[in-house]
Amino acid sequence: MLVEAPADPFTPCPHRVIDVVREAPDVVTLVLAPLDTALAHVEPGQFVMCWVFGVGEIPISVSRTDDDGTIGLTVRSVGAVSNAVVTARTGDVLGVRGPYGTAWPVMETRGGDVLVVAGGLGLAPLRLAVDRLADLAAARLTVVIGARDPSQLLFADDVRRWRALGVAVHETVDAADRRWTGSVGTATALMDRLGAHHGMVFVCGPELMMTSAAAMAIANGANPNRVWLSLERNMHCGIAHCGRCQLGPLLLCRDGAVVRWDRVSDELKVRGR
Amino acid sequence: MNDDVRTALGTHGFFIGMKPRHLDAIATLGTWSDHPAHSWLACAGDAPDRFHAIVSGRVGIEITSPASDPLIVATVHEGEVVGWSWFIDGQPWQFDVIALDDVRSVAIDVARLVDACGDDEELRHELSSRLLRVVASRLKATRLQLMDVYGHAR
Repeated sequence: MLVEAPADPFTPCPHRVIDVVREAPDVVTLVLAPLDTALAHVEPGQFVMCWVFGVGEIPISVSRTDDDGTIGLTVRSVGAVSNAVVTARTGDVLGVRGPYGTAWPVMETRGGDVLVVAGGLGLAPLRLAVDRLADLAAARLTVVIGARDPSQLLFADDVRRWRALGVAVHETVDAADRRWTGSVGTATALMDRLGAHHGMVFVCGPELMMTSAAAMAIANGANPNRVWLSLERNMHCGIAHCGRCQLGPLLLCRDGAVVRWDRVSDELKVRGR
Repeated sequence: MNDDVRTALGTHGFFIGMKPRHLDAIATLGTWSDHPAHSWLACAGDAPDRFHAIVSGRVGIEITSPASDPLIVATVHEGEVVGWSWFIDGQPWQFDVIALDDVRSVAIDVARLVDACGDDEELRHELSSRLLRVVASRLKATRLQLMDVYGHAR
């Protein structure tokens, strides 16, 4: 029987790897089931701190959840800890604490047209949001997905499912061979091509892509206070104590990762952050 | 003037909002051009005799070298144009352009268009502005692609 998360926010809840899904050559989704203590309810866009015992701890956005407390973490190997996460095997036990941070304002989108723009691994923090948005109004949802090449496109089954529900999903890659049937070019260029005004815009991906996409969304008519993005910094404590994830007046582990464009656009113009 | 071509250009993304007399002038230089999937619209080094306003389908701008498979670095879609090298002193096509679907375009005679621009400064300015926007957009995209933003975290 599952019990509630411990009161000490730094105590990780042990989770067992019950499945490893290869999403791309260097990206996996670990499906984790709590051993005895389930995390609190995870909202789309929130992240957890994932501890590989003896190696270290990193923040990872939650890409899937199930009613039984199972969560999915989609990770690319970019450092020592993420490499240890990516190479975890079924049966391994990892520590997880959280969830932390803000969520995509899915319910605020009711009745409006929504544009979701995801670049690379940025689709992982958006996956739950797209599921919810598709449930609300699939026909009013447009999803733009950018990746380096077709092999790096994530969640192929989900993309098929979203399309079947009526979501307009557009994929673009930086380069491809002739077998590729989508667009080649940047996500921003694809947005320019779509051109439509959307009432709400969610963006997640590399920061350069996000700033470019947010600017394009606004140029296409979106109100800056209806554009949201997910920012990453060096999240460490997860509870706004250590200050390592500071961005101007914000501590992104608490005030983010999901933030409104007009609250961070000036901070993102500062060089070297 | 082919009325169908004139109508197509009037609603085409690249030409939209252009003065009717300019559209009329360009339409007289355009002909329908159909390209089955996997056929070439142009190859690198070809003389810049036509540029294409894509009306339906998708073309790929492709780089080929003897040592590697062809790589598509951009796609051009309905409402966009491909082939602007001619505007810079009649330079030849810089890349291969292949139809990825069955493509229909309006192919515009470049030599006659250059003459028309020579006779009409306003038309030249209008086309320059529009082509510059295309070039700027492709340059911006290329810079982002060169950054390989997806190759790093997230």
